[in-house]
Amino acid sequence: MTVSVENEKVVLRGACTAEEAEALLQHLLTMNEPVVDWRGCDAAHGAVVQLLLNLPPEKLEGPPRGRFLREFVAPALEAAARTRAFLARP
Amino acid sequence: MNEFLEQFVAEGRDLVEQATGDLLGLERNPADSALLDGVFRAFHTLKGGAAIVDFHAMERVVHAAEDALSRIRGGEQILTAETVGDCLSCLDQIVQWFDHIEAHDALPLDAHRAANTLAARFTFAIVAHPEQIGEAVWFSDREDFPQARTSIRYHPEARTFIDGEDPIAAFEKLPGLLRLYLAAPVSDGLADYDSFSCVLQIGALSSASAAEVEAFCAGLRGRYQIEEVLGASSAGLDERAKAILEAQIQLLAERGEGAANRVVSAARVASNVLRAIGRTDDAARVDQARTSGDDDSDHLTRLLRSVIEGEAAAPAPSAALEAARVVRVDVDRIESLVKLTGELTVARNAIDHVAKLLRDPATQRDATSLLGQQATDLSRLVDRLQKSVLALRVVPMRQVFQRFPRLVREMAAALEKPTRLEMEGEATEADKAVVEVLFEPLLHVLRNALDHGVEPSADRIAAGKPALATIALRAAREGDRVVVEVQDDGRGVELDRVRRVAAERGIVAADALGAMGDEDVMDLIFAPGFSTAEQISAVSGRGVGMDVVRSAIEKLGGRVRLHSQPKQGTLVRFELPFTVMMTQIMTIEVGGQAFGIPLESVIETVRVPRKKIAGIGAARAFVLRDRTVPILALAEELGVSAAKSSAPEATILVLSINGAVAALEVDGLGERIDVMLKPLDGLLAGTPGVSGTTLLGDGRVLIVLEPAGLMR
Repeated sequence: MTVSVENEKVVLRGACTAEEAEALLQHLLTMNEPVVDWRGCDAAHGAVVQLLLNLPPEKLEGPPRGRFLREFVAPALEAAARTRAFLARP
Repeated sequence: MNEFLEQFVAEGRDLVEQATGDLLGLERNPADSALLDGVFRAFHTLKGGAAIVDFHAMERVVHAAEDALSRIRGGEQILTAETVGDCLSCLDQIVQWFDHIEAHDALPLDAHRAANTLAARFTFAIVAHPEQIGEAVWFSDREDFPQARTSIRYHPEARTFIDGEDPIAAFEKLPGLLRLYLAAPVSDGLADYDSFSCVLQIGALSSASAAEVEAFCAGLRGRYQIEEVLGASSAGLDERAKAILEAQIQLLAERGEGAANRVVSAARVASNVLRAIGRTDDAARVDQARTSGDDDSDHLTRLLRSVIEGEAAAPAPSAALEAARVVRVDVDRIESLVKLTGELTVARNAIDHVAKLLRDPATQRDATSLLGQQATDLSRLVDRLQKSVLALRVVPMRQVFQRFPRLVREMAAALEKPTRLEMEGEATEADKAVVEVLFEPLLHVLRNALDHGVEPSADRIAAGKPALATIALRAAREGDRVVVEVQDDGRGVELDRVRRVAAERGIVAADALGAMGDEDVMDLIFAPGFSTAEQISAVSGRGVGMDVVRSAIEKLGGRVRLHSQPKQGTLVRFELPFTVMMTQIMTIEVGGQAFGIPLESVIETVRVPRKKIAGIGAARAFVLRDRTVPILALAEELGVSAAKSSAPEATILVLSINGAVAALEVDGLGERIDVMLKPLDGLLAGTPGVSGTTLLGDGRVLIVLEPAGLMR
């Protein structure tokens, strides 16, 4: 199991596959103010990353362990979140 | 050009023509699936051809258009006027590329840039919607990556996840990956989120070349766009940002209710975009325009326009400016030249024979008559040779007409005057030099027809005309001339207004105006400084008038006339020589020198007793059949010393210049000859009063004068 809930947080570990996006979605839907910890994540499928795009940056605990995720995907998620926050301002 | 390429271009031009016709038909009747099929097939065939001849940029553009058309056929997308416009722009670009290919055997070096911009119109159709802004701000930090050479935008297919592919992980293998960008449409909460549907938009900056990146992207499923990154110093507005700003300008241009709201909303979007890409100064100016409280959409439009245009990169050298130096020649025409060469050889041998006969006193008599016959044969052959050579430079009018359907459509849309362009006689041939020069004058006349001729729809309906205006563009061969006409069914030229404007602008003295006939008044439209447009509009009226049209046509040895029926429309008629090379001239003598005058401007030659020439102020004139004709002494005009005017009669050349009659006094008249006129070039190019030079039989250079220039 690479997607699990521990201490009120969704924890991503190892390589998260496309199928696990659905599990992650269910957790995000059922939890109040969900927080995702992906520090132990080595790889995440695009379907998982797409879902993470919907998360405010402060709800995502990183950086992830995988080099590609850390160097490229995480900064892209941050920049996207900044843009979204910027556009959402009154 | 190799045979393959030649065939590709020839077939391509036909396909473009067919597709243009179908697209325009489709715009009138969007439900006509046969037309849609026709357009699709044309694009499909063009794409295949471009792939075979390895024109990748062209292939990419056509492919993008074909995809869009295919989505429309499949009902996934609806056909909008915008898509029709984009397809027409695409065809227009292809025609320009064809011209370039004919001249250089290859696409222009910057073709991929144009291709990207065009392809993006289909692939990344802009919706001025906040969701799209996420993508608009990508690459704004590219200055942090000085080694960046290429940018990529990629929209994977929605079923990518289901098919077990990972579009993001794929980018790990992108050569030279420097930076990744991600976006997805913003959703309100996750209640409706579908984790199996891929809505990702992925961007990347790479240090690899466009070619390497292209090779990588070829393995991707979905739509992608590759662009070369401009140097940091010339980094302009991102295309996305620019497109969104353009969309705001369009929004502002809409009329009707809610103008104030549109200004507020356009300003907010524009300011957001500008801030997001770090252009805070510009954003502040936009905010100011918004908060100043006035709903002046023009002000904001100008502001946005300046932001966009301030960024316009140095204009790329226009392919249209490089006159094509290559002509495609039909093989039959070359065959006929080869045959002629054979006949000329025979004629030369016959002359050798005559020369032999001449050496023998016994056969000299026969030789003389034979020589006469040979001369006749030879002159017939030279005549044919001349015609054949001129025919090599002949091209169909289609080459210049082809671009007008789109341009007229765009102008009509800009002016909100629905108009149909009917073209006739595109196959009419004329000298390449003539056809090439026609584009600008015709564009100008078409613009005028739309702007000043065609009435707004409401006025047309009130006048009992169909709301849809018709402009006809026709070409036909008439004898040794080619006639091109532009006819509209608009309001016609109002002579009273022409009179008023001519008087206001001091083109003709008010009292002279009263004496002028209607036709002469109509002709004033061609006078320098005349423009009836009461306000400068976006389409015409940029200060270039019909005088420029007339001078361009006259330079070719042609004529322009304008006929107009009040309330029924205007006809502008260009009469052009079939070829610009052959000119009939008359030689004249002044101050011991010979000059040529184009015969077509000579009405007659007369001898006038000197006492019949009256001085009027500093000028002179004489009466010819109850008409006063002004006389210019050519010697004075040219600054050569005149022969002693002791003769009791003056030799006068009566000329027609733009419909007016004037006379030139010369010392003597020569002969009429057909010459190949060579235009002046180098330092002498554009010398007023001289249209060119030609060589006389005895080797002297003859300067051929241009009467209109002399009289100015």
